[in-house]
Amino acid sequence: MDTATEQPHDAHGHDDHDHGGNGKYIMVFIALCVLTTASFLTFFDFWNENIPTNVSRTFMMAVSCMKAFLVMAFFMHLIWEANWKYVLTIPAGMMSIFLILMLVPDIGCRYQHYSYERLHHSADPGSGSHGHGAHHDGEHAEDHGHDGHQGEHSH
Amino acid sequence: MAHDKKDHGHGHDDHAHIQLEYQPALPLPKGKVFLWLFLSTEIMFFAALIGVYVVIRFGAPPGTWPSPHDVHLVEPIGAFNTFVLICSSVTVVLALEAAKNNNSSSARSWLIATFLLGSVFLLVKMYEYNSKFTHGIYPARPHSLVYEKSDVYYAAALRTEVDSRRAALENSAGELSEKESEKLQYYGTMLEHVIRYAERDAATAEDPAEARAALDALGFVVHHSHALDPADNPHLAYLEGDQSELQLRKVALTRERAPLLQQRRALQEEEAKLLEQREALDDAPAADDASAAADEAEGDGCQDEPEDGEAEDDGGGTAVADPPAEEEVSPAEQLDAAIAAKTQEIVDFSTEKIDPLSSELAVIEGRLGVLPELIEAAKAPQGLNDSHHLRLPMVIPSGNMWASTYFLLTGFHAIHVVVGLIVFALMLPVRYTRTNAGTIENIGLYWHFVDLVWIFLFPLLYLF
Repeated sequence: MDTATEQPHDAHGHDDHDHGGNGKYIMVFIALCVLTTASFLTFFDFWNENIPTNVSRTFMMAVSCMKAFLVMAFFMHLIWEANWKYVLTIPAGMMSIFLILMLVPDIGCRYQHYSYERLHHSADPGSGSHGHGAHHDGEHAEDHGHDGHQGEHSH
Repeated sequence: MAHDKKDHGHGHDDHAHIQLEYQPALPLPKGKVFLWLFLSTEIMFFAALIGVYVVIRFGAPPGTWPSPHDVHLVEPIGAFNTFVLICSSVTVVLALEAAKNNNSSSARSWLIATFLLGSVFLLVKMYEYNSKFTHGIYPARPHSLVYEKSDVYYAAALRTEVDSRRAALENSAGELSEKESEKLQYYGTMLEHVIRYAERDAATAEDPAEARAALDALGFVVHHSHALDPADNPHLAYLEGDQSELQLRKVALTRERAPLLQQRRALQEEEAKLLEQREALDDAPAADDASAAADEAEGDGCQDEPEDGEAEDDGGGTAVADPPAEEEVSPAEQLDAAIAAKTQEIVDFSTEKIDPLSSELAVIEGRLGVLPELIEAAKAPQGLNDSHHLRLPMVIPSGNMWASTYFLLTGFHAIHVVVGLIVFALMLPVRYTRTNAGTIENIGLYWHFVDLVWIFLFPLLYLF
């Protein structure tokens, strides 16, 4: 068994040493901290006042992807692995994206196909918006005349 | 198990000096292959969860997804947890490096550090969950206090809850403490002048928008998580409008009632006069003029009134009136009849003319009594639920869906953290050197993946 486990190690043994050194990991760690701080900037008011919501969301996702890349590449050693890494990661990644896209018509667009009854009981932001995400929802918050039925029905 | 073989299959490659290697599997230790296969299924698993969250969230009825403050989510805590997980990823990597360098004591301390960091993450998570639970945010009823919108169903639920609390306090055995009786009174006020008032208002409003505003303001006063700009706060506008309207109505009603009260006072004076005469009759048994006076009084008394709350003393007077009425039958009886008629007249006048006004005034005064507090609450950064720790049903649009997705995503992630911690705990007693460093590498891969998931969960749940 020993030889069996040793052998594959040797197969990529040439890279076991040339990426050693904790300095690299510390650099990655610092980069991750900086990136986390960067996405946390979106929490502050000065950011929200100056940057459109969509931009800051894209920014956050870009930052997250960079962090994910750093973790996978260095901490999970993928950057030093042989080509087998593509066999395992790319199909899984494609499946994930496919999965999400499949959900869009039924779930992502469900609000567009609500029946009147369903709308009647669905969440409603109220006449004054509750959330501070109010700036991106103006489009059709008003256009469903499902207010006031209480008044009419109770006479 | 790798076999070295000469490749005979391909003639064109058949140079004697090339030694090709035949491998029946990926050039990796088995454990690592299995772990990577597992991770690739995990990628799809979490991608599905995150994808569902994204799709549900952006497909929610527009404007309804709760902001982090609505649901007591604290962004800095999330950022702190991100930091903790990143640190723990680094410590795993350092443990692996130490093991590869045959430095097993240092490998162990890095593993301990990882274990501790993971535990910190879980503790913070528990704290966060707890703050949701104490605010009544659960994935589902009966624990969840979240309603999707401020409609009549919400108002009814609110009324039922407050009423049952009030009843529980009222029926509780033994003396109520000062605090409890304060609460009892608070619930009573809330029930009558806040909830029932809003329900009535919504039911009787001619304009649907006004009915809507009444219930929305009710929901807003009970729960909101940040102050709106006073100039642009429809709930505040509604409450202040209500206040000024009621103040005007109160003045009008008081004015309308004043002459009626005067009339009634006049009637009561007449009644008192009759009673005096009756007493005088008792004292001086033979007095004919008394009965004459009684007739007269009966004549003009046809337009009067009595009343309950503020009336002087009609009932008492009438009740007294019989014992001495003996042989002088006619004058005394006449007087008694006159007094009874007057009393009845006063009662009728009160119930027909004054009572409706008085009860409307009482409602208005009660409402005006709580309105300042409601207006204050509408201006405040938090609703009554948070400022008074009431735990009443509250309106958080899409709050139930939010809770479901939040607990599902963070819950599955937390389960992964727990599993990782168990493995780390099992690994702590082992001595790691270059030969068995592969174990650390494998658990490290898993742990980095857990970190990776959180890297996406943090912005999606806390910052979006």
